[in-house]
Amino acid sequence: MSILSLDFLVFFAAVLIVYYIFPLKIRWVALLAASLVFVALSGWQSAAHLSIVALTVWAGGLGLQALRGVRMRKLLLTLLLMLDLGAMMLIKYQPVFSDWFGFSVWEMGVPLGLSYFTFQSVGYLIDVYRGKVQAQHNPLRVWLFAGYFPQLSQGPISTWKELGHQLLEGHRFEPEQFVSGFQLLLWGYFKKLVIADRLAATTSALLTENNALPGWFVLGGVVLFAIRLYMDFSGGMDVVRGLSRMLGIELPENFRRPFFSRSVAEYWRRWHITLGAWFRSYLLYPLTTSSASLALSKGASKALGKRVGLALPSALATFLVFVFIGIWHTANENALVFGAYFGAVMATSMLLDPVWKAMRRRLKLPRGGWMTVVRLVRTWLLILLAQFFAFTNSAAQGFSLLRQSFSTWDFSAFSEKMTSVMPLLEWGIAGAGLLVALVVDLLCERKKDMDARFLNAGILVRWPLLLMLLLSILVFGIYGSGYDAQAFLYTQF
Amino acid sequence: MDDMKTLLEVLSEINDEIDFETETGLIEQGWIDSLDLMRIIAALNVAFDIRITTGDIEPENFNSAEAMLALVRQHREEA
Repeated sequence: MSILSLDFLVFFAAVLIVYYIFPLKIRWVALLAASLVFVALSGWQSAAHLSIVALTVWAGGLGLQALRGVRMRKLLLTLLLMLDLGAMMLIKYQPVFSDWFGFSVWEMGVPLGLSYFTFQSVGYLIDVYRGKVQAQHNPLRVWLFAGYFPQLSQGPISTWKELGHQLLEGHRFEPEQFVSGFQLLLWGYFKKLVIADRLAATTSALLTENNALPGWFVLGGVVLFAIRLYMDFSGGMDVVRGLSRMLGIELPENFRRPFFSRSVAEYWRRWHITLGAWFRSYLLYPLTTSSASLALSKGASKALGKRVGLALPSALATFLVFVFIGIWHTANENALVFGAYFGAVMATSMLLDPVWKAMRRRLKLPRGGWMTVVRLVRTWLLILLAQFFAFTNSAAQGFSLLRQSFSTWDFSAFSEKMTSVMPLLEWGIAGAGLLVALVVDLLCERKKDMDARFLNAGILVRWPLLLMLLLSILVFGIYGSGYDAQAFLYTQF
Repeated sequence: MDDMKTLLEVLSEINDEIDFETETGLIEQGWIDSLDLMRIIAALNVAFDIRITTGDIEPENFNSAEAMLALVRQHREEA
């Protein structure tokens, strides 16, 4: 059941009623029941897989807490992680394995939210192992943490510390929070249905055209893909966080206006934040604090000097992490190029940091002002380059489009080309939608608490705006057959 | 006191635009990000011949030079 469908809205309305009728102490049971129904509706495989993971993680957590010997604990954790991550990889990379062996080894539907509940449960196990959280005695509580229904469509990935207590403590109905959640929900639907799904036509125009395309058309299409992906994913996150807020539960932010970043490192701190945090805590830090890393920093600082030597292990580890982030998306060459590219950009910038700082000092470059614009543009270009491999089907196609964007910039067929993608009116609606989104993002970038400010604005300001938002979703939203919109791009991962 | 001097030297080599001596919210105020943090850890490991572990990576251990020094000393005592 897509969270964009009419069925889901009916389901969610029922959940809200039941949730707030239940006594405070057992409201988590209502959440558990709702999540069970939600998962069961998307197929028995999803329910079975999630339940097996939850039971394993519950028992594993208790085991990790009870064991005393360092070796035994390490062994148990390794085993649990292999089971949890192994199951995810076997299912996720099933087409790749079939390719290798020439026949389908096993056929299994991909459970709903596979990556997201796997990452979350792995995080729980490692946190218990590190002694940062107490293992839960009730398996149903662990199940709810992994399978809390709003996060199953595309995250965010929460830690037990962030989410566990919120799910279990039960929340009173707070009108202000409820309305704030509803606002966020509407805003998310607007971004997804009015903007992202409308821009989908521009991506398919790039992928289906066989003839040589004018450079401006390719480059424009790639820019629009980047924007579409942001609107799709962050819109989806707003819907999910809005739904959750209406239940009194605050999920972590996954996006903080990434296109205003002044460096690629900053971009990755603002784009898919919870995935980055997960990889940082559970892969990057263990890698950089490993004994191999320590030996490398000692050796490299002697051989190459302190500046490079000390940065080398973290640069290598960062490169590796980005390769993993790439192939987490899908196991194909494109994902590998995407990950290795960002890894290389990050590693290079880490190693060259002293050079860059020295250059800035020598040339007396300012920190803000026009340099900010230069840095913004540079970051955009670096990110755009990666997008060529984010939506294409093969690395060859990515490189081919990249070449085409530098080829002829022939504007003679401008209007025909544009209207072949979608009618002028549709372009107008997309443009207006993007303008609204840009203004909102700019306001949020300038003032930290825009959400609260809007909530405190007078009824005469707030309600007409919300009504307009609702109407524009109903009138301009793109709906597929049976009132189901396009699936979110990130649900597939 | 010498340890503090060494520590401040190590930190200023990583980023000389931050006032490590007085700042007490290095992580929480966003003065250092995860990339700086990794370099700081590598530098402390080499300078003081210790091994900081993943479990030590908590904001409170890196929010100020004082806190980092305490972490260094704790590892030295353990060794």
